[in-house]
Amino acid sequence: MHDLKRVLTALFLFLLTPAVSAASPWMWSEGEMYYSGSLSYTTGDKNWNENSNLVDSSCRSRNVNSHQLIEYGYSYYHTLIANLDIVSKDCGGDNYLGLGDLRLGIRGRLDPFRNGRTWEVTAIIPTGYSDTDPARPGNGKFGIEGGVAYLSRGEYRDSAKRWDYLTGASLRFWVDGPADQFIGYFTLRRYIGRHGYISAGVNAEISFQNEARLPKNLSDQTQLADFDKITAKLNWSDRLSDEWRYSIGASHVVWGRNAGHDLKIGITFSRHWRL
Amino acid sequence: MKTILRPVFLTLFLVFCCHSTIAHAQVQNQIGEISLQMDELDANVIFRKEYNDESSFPVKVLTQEGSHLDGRIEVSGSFSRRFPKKNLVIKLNDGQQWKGYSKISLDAMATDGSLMRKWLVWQLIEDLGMVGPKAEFIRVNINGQYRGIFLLTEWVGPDLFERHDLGRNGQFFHPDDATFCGDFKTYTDKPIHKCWKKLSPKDDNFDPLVTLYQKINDTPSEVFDQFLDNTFYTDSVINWIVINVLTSNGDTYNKNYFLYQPETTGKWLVVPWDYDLTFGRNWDPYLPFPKNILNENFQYFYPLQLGASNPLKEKVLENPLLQQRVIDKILLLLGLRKQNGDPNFGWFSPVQMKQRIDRMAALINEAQREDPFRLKQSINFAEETQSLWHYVQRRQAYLNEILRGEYRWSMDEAGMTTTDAEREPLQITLRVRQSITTPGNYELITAPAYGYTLAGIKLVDHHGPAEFTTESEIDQTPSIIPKGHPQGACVQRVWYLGLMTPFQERLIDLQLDYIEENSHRTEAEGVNEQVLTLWALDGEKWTKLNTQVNTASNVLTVRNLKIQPGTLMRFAACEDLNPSEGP
Repeated sequence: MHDLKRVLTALFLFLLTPAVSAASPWMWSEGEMYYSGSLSYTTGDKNWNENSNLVDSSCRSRNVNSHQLIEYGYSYYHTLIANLDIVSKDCGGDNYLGLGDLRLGIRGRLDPFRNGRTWEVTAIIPTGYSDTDPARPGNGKFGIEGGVAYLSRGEYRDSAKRWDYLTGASLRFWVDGPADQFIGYFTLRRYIGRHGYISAGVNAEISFQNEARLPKNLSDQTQLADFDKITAKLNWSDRLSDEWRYSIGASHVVWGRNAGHDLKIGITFSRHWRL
Repeated sequence: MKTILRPVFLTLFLVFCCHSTIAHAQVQNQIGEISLQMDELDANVIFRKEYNDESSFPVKVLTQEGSHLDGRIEVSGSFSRRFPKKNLVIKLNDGQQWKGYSKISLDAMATDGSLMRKWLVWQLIEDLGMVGPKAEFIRVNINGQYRGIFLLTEWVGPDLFERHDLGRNGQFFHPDDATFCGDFKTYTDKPIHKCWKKLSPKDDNFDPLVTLYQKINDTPSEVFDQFLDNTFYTDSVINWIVINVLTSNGDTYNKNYFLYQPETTGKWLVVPWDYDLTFGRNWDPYLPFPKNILNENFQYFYPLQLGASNPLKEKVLENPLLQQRVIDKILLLLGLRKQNGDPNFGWFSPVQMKQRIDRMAALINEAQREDPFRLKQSINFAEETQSLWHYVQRRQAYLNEILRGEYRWSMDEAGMTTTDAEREPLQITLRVRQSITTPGNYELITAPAYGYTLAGIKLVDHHGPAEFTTESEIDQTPSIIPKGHPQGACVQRVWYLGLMTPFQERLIDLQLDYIEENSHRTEAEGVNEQVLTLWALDGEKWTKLNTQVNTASNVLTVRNLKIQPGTLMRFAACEDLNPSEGP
């Protein structure tokens, strides 16, 4: 019964906002701005160990994350990206409140004639937090990420198509530290009404386990130097006004290695406008 | 008697038109050229990128002196952005001008196969002395490659107003064409800044417009003439409505026009805009986007209040003095009523318009034929330009009928024609007897009260006037059709033509119309119009006629048709099953 409830919960929460930091498939016109601010709560009291066995954690993690993202259409060919997390983490006696990593990136077009096919390069810049603190918000190391993304329809406001999907894949390399990673996602969207859509999908974060010089096995932590996890996500989004949208979503880690068995819920407000 | 005399008078007017020269517009007599330099990728991207993208790209405009002007180029427009051939705007860097323009607006005319709708209207606006953009056809080269014929159109903005001594710092508004509510109606639930864009000064002060809304709605129609004189440049409103009536522009009253209030006078000025869906093009409420806008429909029979509801338009048409001014100007431009040597007499008459259209068609024919975007579309330029003239013929006859005929058009408070309510429902059989007096020009035979064209007749011989009788059984599947033709392959209309003048066979050119107003009201449903042929039944046998079909205007033309006195010829239009067999 307990397992059934877990399965049902996992299905119901067939997850969230695209929390995985992989390439986005959308290019903005020159002069367009996009802001997204999200608030999420993540919790879990189990984790997958190094053998991918689900075990009890020594404490329940309670993390609150405020994710701030801004994108700017610098030109037809390039969109500039900046995002920053403000993080509160707590698990047992370990806690942290402060900035997470700053990410600065650039996105370009794989197909110069249409939207929805992009490449993206992002620099990950730690903001000075301790890289040994068990409750640290990231790896505390510099990193760089490069990837591509695809949206199955590029035609803006193409109301004839009620379904689309977006997918992306990136490689993340760390300087002097954690294992390099593959990050990927697939999201299926169904449009409902004029501006709303429901989406469901999966995120994957897979480590290459290549000479990671940081500890590989820190149980009780949700963010490890060498971990794998598959997350399922479910999301609803609709328009609030010409410029503003909201979305609510949830995600659940459905499989992992050295990863927390976390549940996450979040709400996002975003604005799109021209300068 | 009255029915017979009316066409005679019309004919006399037409004759007068024929001998008047084209009104005084300084008509373009050669096609200019603009040469641009862009990054090669940018030059391809700007035409192929997705329509919603609003990015700009660096561009150099080459000058005749061998130097260049720097600026940025972008796609402009709204609906037209979806077409491969894009409207382009070049914004030159500060202090630079080309041909006196700091913004170079190149209208692709992608929705207009004839390329001429807007040009004709801008010419008329110039000749009426209105505030409107100058326009000329121009060849556009990018990186030495010909990219098509465009209409270089003066940017509607402060420079244009200054050219007309109206200053450049007035209040300047334009309806937001995405919200369809720039129409002075106060019962919309949308705030005014959703319905209108303030173009200058760059502030959020919509108070002048709010005040104008209030005044328009508070002023009764009976005194609207005084209000208009005090608040507007009256001619700009009258002429705007007149041009919309003449061209059947219903696509304007809630989204396509500008309002400018100069600081010096405080009076509002209407600047007309966007005339691509005119000259017979018709909105189709039954088709999905974009077919609802771009389709094969054709109409010329909508009354003066056509188009979206707008209290400014409606109160002008309800006020007796203003209504008369509108009608007088319409009749003047159609060449149906002369006014004190006004040089614009007959400007919109079929004769003058045909000269104007033919002349410009000849001038731009080569440039349009080589246009790489049009090459991909297989546009029949000759048919498209001819359809403009067919429209003008029919619009003149229709307006003549409803403004000077037995059942006069009038406006009630609901904005509908009283004649619609009073007259009998449209008969299945329309029957007219009419004298044709002048050789060399088409005269249209129209249904009394309704103004529908039943036939156009041109006397080819010179045997003097002739009297014809015409009948049309409309919206009817023909009961008798040429052998071997399925009924579904024939237009749902039967035409009859009889020569009433005795003794002598006559030679005529004949136009016969069918209706394709929208996808629910069409007499050509399921018919391949491209291969339509007229057949004539002389009592015993069907004869196939050498027919020219204009699928844009739904007009079938037969030249050099012999018609015997005392016989009633019956016509049917069916798909030609054996095109190799001549008539």
